Amino acid sequence: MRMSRLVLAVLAIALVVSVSMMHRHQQIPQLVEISTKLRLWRGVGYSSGSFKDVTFTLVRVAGSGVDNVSLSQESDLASTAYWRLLIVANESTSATVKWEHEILPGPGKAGIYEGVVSTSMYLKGTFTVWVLLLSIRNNTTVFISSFSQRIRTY
Amino acid sequence: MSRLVAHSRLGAFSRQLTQSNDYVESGGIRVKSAYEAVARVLENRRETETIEVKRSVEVLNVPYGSDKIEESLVAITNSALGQNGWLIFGIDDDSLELVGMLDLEMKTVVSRETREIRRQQFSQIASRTKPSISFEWMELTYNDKELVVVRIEGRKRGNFFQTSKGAPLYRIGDHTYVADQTQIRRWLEEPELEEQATSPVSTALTIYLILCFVSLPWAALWVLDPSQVLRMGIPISLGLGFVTALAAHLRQWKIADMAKWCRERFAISLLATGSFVPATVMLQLSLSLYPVVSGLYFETHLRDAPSISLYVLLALILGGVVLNLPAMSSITQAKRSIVSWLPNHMKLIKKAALASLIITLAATGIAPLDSYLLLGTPKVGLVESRQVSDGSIHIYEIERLKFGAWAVNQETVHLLLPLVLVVDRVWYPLVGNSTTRKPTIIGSSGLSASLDMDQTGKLRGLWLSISKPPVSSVFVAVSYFSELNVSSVVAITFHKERSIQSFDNGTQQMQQTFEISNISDYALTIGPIWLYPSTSQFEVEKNVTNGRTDISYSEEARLLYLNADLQPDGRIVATVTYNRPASL
Repeated sequence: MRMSRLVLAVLAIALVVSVSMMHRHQQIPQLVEISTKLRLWRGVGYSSGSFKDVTFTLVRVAGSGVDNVSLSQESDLASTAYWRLLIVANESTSATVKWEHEILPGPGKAGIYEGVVSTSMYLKGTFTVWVLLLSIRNNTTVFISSFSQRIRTY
Repeated sequence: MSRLVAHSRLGAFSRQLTQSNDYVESGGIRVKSAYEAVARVLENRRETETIEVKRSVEVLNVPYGSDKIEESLVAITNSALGQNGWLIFGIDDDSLELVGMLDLEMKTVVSRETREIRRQQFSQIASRTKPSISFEWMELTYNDKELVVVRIEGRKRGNFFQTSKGAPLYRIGDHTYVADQTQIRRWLEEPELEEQATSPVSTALTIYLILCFVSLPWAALWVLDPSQVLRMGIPISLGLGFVTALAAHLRQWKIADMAKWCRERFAISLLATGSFVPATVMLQLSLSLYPVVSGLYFETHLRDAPSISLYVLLALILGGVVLNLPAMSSITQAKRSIVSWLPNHMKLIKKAALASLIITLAATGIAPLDSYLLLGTPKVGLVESRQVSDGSIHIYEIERLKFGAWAVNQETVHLLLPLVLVVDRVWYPLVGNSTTRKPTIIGSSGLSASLDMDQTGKLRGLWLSISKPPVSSVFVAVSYFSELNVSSVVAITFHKERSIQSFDNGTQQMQQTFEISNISDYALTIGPIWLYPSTSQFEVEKNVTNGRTDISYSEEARLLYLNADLQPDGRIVATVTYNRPASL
């Protein structure tokens, strides 16, 4: 089939515009990164803690997640207790988005631990995000603290 | 009427005439348009040095017809110094009557296909002259008769043309002559006209270029950033002027040639600029659709784009009028030029209309598309809303036994930034219903924010001005208050007050029981609630569940007052026994 120069030019422009638009669309952040700054206590047979801050930011690329919780005040005692961070995003019209992470910092020592745990989720719409901090001691899960926030993404 | 005679037959009078530049150059008056050429022949009933008529284009199809046309072409070109010459087909060369597109016998109409063949023949003739002659083949209607008018580009000073057989012909009046060596030397030795800066063409060109160099780049800068128009516009305009002047000097452009170049491209410039006017109107409509698709309102200078495009168009039209003024001898001629221009540029007009349609469609889709692609406008990416952000609903007393409730809320708005920010201010709708408690901006990054309150003092939104250069994280956090329906969060019951006893000094001992229950999901901070006028002697019997309460005496006000905190499901039952002074 023989195409005129005009048709070729229009096709070329349409191709360039489409590729540019797709590229631009991919650059726009679509994910919500939830960063939880924690202060945790670990004793012999128990663990506790609190949220220092919870922040929400938009990111483009899903990271592998951050967990840099580390010992800040060391104790001589050993401990096997640890924590679990549960993030649940509820939306009435779609399924719940859930992320669970076990915080198992370095040496099994008692003391005070601090750091940030973050993850990114694809959340489109209006959600209530719950961040729950749980303690795991002797295979028993105990609720420690929670944080909730209503978010809307566009 | 065209006759070829030997130069030797020309008398001394004719030789004298050829030395007059005015006569040779113009044949009287310069003719600027095809219509004018036709009108001149018909009105004056004679041909001139630069205008020759032929009965029919079919003259090209008779033996030696093409040779005669070649001779006419060369003669007209050599006589039309620095101006256009005209060869008109469709006027009888004997009677000088308008005959239209008929054949030589004046019986049948020459078909369009035949005319196209004659045009190609004419083109071959023009290309075989030495050097080849530039021409424009125009078909037009004059007094309901169809004509073919060929505009022939006249020779320049210091040049002359010859037929393919080497005949250097020229015209005096309606006669054609062969130039002798003296005439040829005279042509070759013609001095170039000095272009004076103060000539009308030079002035017109300067005004036109200034208008172009100012209006077009300034409009482009205005689209990108209005604050840069003066700062960058002046250097850019001066730079364009300098580059043009330098190029004109180095390339030895002549004022007349430059003016001609501009005039020839004026039409396309006008159509291109004009095509943006409907586009900007549609852009304005598109911008008004933006809040519907993105939930975000904004102020942008682009709303004035239709006005700016009109200003640019007006500047160009003004420049074009000034540019063409020196070439127009009268308004009638200008009118004729415009009338003759339209049919000859239909193809260009159609292309411009198509381009305008495409640009207009693109402009229509800009804002809706931009809400997804973020090309020029920002977008709300994420909103964090925290109702009752301090975790507690506050209960206060409006008047005796009438209570109000309020809560503090927090909203953080994260914006996504576009590729090129063309928006000045963004308006984000945020409704608060408290008229007495003012909201506060508690944090921001990459923007400056201000509160937009209505006349009653209620918050209705935020004005956000994004900083330049933009930063990666752009957000604003605002704390605002909501007045709540008190009956939905707390139940307060005051039982009937009763007198227990009266003292001699008139003081009465009173007792009242009241109950306060938290029926909300949040903690309640209650108080101060002013209870009774009393002396400092009083007793409280209370039963508090999930909370605390404190009933105190104010020396200053001489009143008992209550402060309390109640957790969800918390309840207070209190019985207060107090002494009401006689004076009250």
